[in-house]
Amino acid sequence: MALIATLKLSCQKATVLIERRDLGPLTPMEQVGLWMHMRICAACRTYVQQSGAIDRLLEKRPQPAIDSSELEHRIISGLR
Amino acid sequence: MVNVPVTSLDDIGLRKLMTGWVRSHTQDLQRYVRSRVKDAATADDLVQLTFVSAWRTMEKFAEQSSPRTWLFSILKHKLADHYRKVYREGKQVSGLELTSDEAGENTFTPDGHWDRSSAPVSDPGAFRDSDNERLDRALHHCLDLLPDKLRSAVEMKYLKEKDSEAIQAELGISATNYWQQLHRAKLKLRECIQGRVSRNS
Repeated sequence: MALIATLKLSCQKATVLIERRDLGPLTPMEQVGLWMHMRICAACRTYVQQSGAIDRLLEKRPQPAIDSSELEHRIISGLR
Repeated sequence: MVNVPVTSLDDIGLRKLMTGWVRSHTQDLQRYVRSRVKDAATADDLVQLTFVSAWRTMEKFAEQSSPRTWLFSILKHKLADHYRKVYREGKQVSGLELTSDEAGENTFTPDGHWDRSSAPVSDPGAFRDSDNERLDRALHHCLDLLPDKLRSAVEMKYLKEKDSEAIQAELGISATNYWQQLHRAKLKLRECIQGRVSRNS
């Protein structure tokens, strides 16, 4: 029972682990704790999906086309 | 593409080559940096600095890499420099100076559960990450609302390609401190985006 209590995560801690695993692997204990938390917490399951969507957008940053002619001109006339 | 080695070109040749690069790559560089920096004038300055830097170090340009790859790598260095400076000068967001909101105290209850007003609400359509202009706009808007330090923490993650050690060295903070800042930034971003994509639906 003591082990289960150690593994038990709050939503706050679970979301920290969700963010951290994007930068590197979690420890086995953390993985089990997160897996257990996800089974019982619908809000954190939603968080995983939304956080993942945000990460994918942060990676590619869709940006509409812009008119660069002024900047091009400024750069070329600044080359010495 | 010019196949003549850069080192064999005279001044006029070099200038011609560089002018061609400016015309071919400015727009892509500008779009890249405008979507990563809040202030448009600062973003454009970073593009100009990139070309100034490239112009001064043309002899270092290796023929085997494409000008585009080379220019983007210079720009990413400039951006990392920019965010390192922004981070160092940014308002303190760790320790006692944190407002309760920045510390995430309004997001979670004291025992660490989602506060009812901040809990993620399932809305797969609103968070669909392809071909979703409303979500794209919400992301840009909400990124620009992040405090400087948190914005820098987020940008560094992608500029340094998720290399934790490189990021910590660049920002001069511990791993734990960095994770906390990223976590805070993501909580704020997600909540802001949720508010924008579901409010008008």
